[in-house]
Amino acid sequence: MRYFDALIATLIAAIANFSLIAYLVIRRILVYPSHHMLERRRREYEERIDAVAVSPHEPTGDDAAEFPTVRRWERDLLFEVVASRMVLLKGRSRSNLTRLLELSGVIDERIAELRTGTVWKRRLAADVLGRSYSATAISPLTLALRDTDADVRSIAAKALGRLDVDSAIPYVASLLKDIEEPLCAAVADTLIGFGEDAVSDVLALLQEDIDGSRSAERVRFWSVTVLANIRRPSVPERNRRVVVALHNLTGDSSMRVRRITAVALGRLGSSFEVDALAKLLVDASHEVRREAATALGVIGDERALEVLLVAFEDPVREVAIAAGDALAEFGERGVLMMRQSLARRGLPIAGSPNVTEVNHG
Amino acid sequence: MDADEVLPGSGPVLLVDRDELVFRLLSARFLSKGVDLLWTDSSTGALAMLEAGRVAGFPRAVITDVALHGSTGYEFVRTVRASEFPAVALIPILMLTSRYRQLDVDSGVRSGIDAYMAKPFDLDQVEQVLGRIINARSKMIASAASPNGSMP
Repeated sequence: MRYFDALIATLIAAIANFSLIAYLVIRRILVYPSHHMLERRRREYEERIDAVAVSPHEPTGDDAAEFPTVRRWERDLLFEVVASRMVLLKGRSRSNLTRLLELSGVIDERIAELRTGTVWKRRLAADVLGRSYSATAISPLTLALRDTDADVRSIAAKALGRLDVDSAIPYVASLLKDIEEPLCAAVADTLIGFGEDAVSDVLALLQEDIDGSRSAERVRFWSVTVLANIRRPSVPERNRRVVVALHNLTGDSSMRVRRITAVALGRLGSSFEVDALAKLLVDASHEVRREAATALGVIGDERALEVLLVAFEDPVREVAIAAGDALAEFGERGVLMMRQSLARRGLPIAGSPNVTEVNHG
Repeated sequence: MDADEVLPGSGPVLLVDRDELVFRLLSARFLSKGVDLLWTDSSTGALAMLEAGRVAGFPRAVITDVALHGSTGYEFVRTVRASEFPAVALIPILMLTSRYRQLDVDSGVRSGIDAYMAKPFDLDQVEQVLGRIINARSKMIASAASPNGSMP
């Protein structure tokens, strides 16, 4: 009897194993294509998608129906082939391809995943929607900026930057307040991509600081990084507000905020910035002093000559070199001042007999 | 140039680009207009094709990237412009590249291109620009060939 039970148990186990393997094989066949089938379908798609891209007419539902997209892998493949073309194209060709994705259901499917999918699916969906260039993705991507997952928020911000949606700027800017430091660079990049239109919202982040509800050091640093890279706003009022905000930050408690402020002031490039940069030229941090010296050289205002000469005698070599480079930007006059400074300190001067390099102490 | 308009000139267009996708897209577009697109991914291949043009007919225009196998697009253009055969030296050249800094544009212009376009590109625009530079070169050659004209 015991042997009979063992036999039955073995049989049940064998049937279970066989069923499992059969299930996996059938699933593999139904869900995933063979390599051969995948390549064949890819070639079909490529030919048809290229025809859609170069067509002078927007694709219709009938055109989309020519693409078999019943199975998930087919829709994924369709997107992959379309996306590879979108990187190269713009104008009508790109619009045609976006329309094709909309008609084939790829966009709707990803929007649904962005709303209710798992974290991984939401991240992927945000990326795909950004690369689809579809206007229907704007609203769901904007909502995704409040996703519980920081990566989803960051990818959604990047996607909106790619779609160039100005209405998303306040949401993207506010992300700097609530995402982790490593993700800030991606958000800052997106804001820089928006250009001058992002200035007001970035200034609003810094304004919180001025109002007393002190923003995090991280927010101030990345906000100024964005301003430094957008450079001089063309609207005078906007430019004035940037100058005021940057002047306020020259006394910031954070060294890296003061350093990036020096860079930003230099990039604004007007004489108004000389006083603020002169203040940074005597900063406690040599990194701040170095950036301030470089910025003053770029601006090239002669009022900076005296302070640059002081910086040329800075005990930190890299500050002295930056100040020397800045003085050289002023031509003969700057070079003469450097020579006099070296002579006064009894230091050798390049170009004199037996001297091959300038020693900055 | 409208979508229905024909590209001026005769003969194929030569594309020099490492990216096959660029070839596929431009080829699909040009074929729909009845224009053949020849493709090579290297400057040496392109120069050989231009050389062969003496027998098989010269392309009506060249589209080149900057990053090529063999040499840069700038060097390739300089070599073409220095050719002893006027039909090669005067061929209209459009530089189509993902490098869009002013420095890159200036290098292209100095090497002797007729027009510069950045990737990603608009196929309509590529065709328009190509049409314009082909027409401009034709006028230049025609005026040079007239009794009062002189070859550049």
